[in-house]
Amino acid sequence: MFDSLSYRVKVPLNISLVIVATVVIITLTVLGYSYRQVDREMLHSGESLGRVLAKGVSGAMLRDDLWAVWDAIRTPTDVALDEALRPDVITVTDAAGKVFASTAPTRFRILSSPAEVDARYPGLPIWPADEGPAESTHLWLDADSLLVLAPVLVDGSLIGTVLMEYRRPAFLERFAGALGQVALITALILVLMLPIGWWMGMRVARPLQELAGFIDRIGSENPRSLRQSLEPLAAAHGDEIDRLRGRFHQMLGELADKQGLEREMVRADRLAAIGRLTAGIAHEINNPLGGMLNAVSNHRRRGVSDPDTERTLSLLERGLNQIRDIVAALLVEARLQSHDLCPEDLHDVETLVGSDIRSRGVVIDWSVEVRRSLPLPSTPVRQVLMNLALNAVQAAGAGGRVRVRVGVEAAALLARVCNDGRHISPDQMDRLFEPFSPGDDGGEGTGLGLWVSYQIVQQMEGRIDVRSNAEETCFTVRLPLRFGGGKA
Amino acid sequence: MRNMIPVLRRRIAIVPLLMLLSVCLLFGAGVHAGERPVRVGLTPVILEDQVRFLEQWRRYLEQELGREVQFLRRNSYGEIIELALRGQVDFAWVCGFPYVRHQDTLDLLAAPVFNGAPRYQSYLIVPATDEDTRGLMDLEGGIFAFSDPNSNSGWLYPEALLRRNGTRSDQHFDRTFYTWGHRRVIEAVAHGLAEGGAVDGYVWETLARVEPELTDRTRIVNRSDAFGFPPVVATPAADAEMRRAVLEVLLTMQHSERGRELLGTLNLDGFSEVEPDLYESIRQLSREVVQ
Repeated sequence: MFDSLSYRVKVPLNISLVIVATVVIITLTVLGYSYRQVDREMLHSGESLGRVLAKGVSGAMLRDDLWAVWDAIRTPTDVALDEALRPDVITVTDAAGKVFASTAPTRFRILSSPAEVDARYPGLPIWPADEGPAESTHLWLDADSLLVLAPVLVDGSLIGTVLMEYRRPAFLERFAGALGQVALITALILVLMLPIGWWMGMRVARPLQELAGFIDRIGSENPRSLRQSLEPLAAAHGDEIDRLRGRFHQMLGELADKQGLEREMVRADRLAAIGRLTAGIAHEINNPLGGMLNAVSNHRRRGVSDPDTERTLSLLERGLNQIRDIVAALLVEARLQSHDLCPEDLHDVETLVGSDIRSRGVVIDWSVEVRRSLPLPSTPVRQVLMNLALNAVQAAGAGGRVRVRVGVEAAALLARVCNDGRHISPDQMDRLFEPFSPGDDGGEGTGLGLWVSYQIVQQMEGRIDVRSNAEETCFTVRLPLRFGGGKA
Repeated sequence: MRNMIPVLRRRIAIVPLLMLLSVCLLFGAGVHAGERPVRVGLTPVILEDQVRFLEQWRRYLEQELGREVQFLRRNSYGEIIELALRGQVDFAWVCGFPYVRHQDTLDLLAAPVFNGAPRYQSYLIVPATDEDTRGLMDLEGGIFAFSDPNSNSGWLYPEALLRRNGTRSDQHFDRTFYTWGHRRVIEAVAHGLAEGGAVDGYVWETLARVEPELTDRTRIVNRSDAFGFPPVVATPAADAEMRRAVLEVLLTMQHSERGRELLGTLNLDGFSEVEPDLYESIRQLSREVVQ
C-alpha cells in the first residue's frame, strides 16, 4: 500500500518517520540512562546517608539513649524525600550485632539478630575487628533490595552498624523523575520537527510531482505548449530531478518536432495525391479540350455567316479557353529551363508588386540581400515570390504592413514574406496549399496561387513553411542552390 | 540529634518568635524597665511542642502580670528541676514526684484542674495490635518505654507496681528506655518500638483530642488510681509579691474569656490552690522505690 502512495505523501512521511524514530531512540536512551541511574543514586545516597546517621547516632548509642537513636533514624524515612532514595528500613545494631533500634521495630525487634529475622541479612558485625578501619559497604539482598551498611565508630572502635534497606522502585516508578520531562521534550520536538520535516519533504517532492503532472498531460495536450509551460532549467548541472526535467524538456521538443514532421508528411502526401489527381484529370481534359477548340477554330475558318452562330462560337471558345487556363494552372509544370536568377529579377518582382500596393494602401518593406546571380531558374522563383507577395498584400488589407526578406543562407535561397493581416486558423492551415483553399487569396483571385507556389517549390526540391500567430503570418521558402538555369 | 523533629519545628518557629520578642521588647521593656522577667520552667507534663499555643499563653501571662514572662524548656524533667533548685527559674510546672522529693525547696503554688479535680492517672498502654496484655506483669521479657525518671506516671508508678510484685523494671523487661516525654511514649508504643509504655493519662487524653490517629494505634491496658496533678511550684527565686501575682493570674484564668480559651487548648478547667497532702500517694510511692 505504501508503494502506491504519492511522493507528495511518501517523502514527508519518510522524513516524519525518521524524526519519530530518532525521538523514540533518544527517549529510550534517556529513559534507559535514568533507569540505570536509579541504582547508582540509591547506592550513593545510601552511603552518604549511612555516614551521616552513623555519626549522628554514635553519641546517643554511647549514652544508651534508644529514643534518640530511633528518632534520628526515623527522620529520613519520615521527612519527604525522593521516594526512590528513601530507605525502606533503617536498623541500628550494637557492637554485638543485636538490634538497637529499627524503623521497622515489629520486624527487627530490639535485641534480636537481623540475620535470624531475615535470612538475607548478613551476620554482624561484618567488619573483622583486626582489619583496619571499617568502611561503608553494600550488598544486594535480592534482585530489588539493596542493603547499605555503615559502621558506627567512636574513636576508631566499632560500637554498632547502621543498616539501610532500599527497595528498588517498580519498573515504571523508576522513570518517575525522567518520564514527565522526557514526555514534554518529546512532545515539543515532535510538535516543532514534524511540521518542518513535513514541509521539507513536500519541498523535495514538489518538483517530482510537478514533472509527474507534466508526464500525465502528454498525449492530451500539445507537446509544444507543454514544453513552454515547463520552466527552463536554472542550473546546467542540477540534481537528478533537474536532469530529468532537462531531458524531459528536450524530449517534449523532439516530440513536438516529430509530431510537426508527421503532420507535414501527411499534408505533403495529400498534396502529392491531389497533384497526381489534378494532373491526371488535366491530361484527360486536355485531349478532348484540344479537339473542341480545334473544331471551333475550323468552323470559324470556313466562315461564319450567321451572327447568332458567331456568338455561340465565341461563347464556346471563351468557355473552353477558361477551362484550358484553369487546367493549365492546376497542372503546374515549373519551367526549370530558364536563365539564372539575378538580382534584377528580384527587383522586377518588387516593381510589379509595387503597382498593386499603391491602390491598396499597404506599406511594403523589401529587403533583398542577393548581390549575384544564383543557380536557380529565374521564372519559377519570380512566380513564387510574386504569388506570395501579392497574397500577403491581399491578406494585410488597407493600412497593413508587408515585409519581404530575400537572402542566401546555407546554400539555399531563403525568402520570407510576412504580413500583419488576419491570422490563419489551424483548420485553414492544414489545407492551405490545396487548390481553391479558403485561406488562399482571402477569397479573391483564382484560389490557386499557393497551390501553384507549393507545386513549384516541390518541383525545385525546396520547402515552404507557414507560421501564423496573432501578430503576423510568415511564409518561408527555402530553395536549394543546385538547379542551374542552364542559360546565362 | 536527640530529637530531630522538635529541632526542625523550633527552627521554623524562631522567626515569628523573634518578631514577637522584638514587639514585646518595644512595648513591654519601655513600660516595665527595671523589673526582671518572670521565668517559668516547663516540662513535658503538657504537650510541650505546641509552640504557637505556648507563645499565646506567655503573652497572656505578660499582659495579666504587667511584666515580661519567659518560658524555659529543657530536654528532660531533671534539667528543669535542677534550674528550679538553683533558683534559675521563678516558677516551674513539674511532676508531683520531683515536687515531693524537693518539697523542702519548692513550694506548691497551684495545680491544674482536669476533668473537675486537680488529679490525673498513669496509663499503661500497649500497641493496639496487642489484644492479649491485661497488665504490667504480662509484659515480662518485653521492651518497655518510660517517659522520664523524674515522672510519677511515666516511671515511679509502674516501677513501684513492679516492686510490689517482687521484681524491678530492669529484671522484668528485656529492655527499657526513656523517651523524655509522654507524647513520645505514645509514639514509641504506637509504632511498635516499645511493646508497652507508661504515660501521663492527661497527656494521652489531650493528644487523643488533637491527634486521635496516633492514640488510636495504642490501647490502654490499665489506669492507675488518681494522683495529684503535676503542680506549678515556686522556687526560692520567686518573692512573695511575684508568687501572689502569678497565683492570682492562674486562679482567675478561668474567669476571663481569653483565659478559658487558653485553658481549653490545654484541655484544663482551670487552676486551683492545693495542699501538699494531695501528693501523699506519690510521696508514698517515692518512699517505696527510692529507698
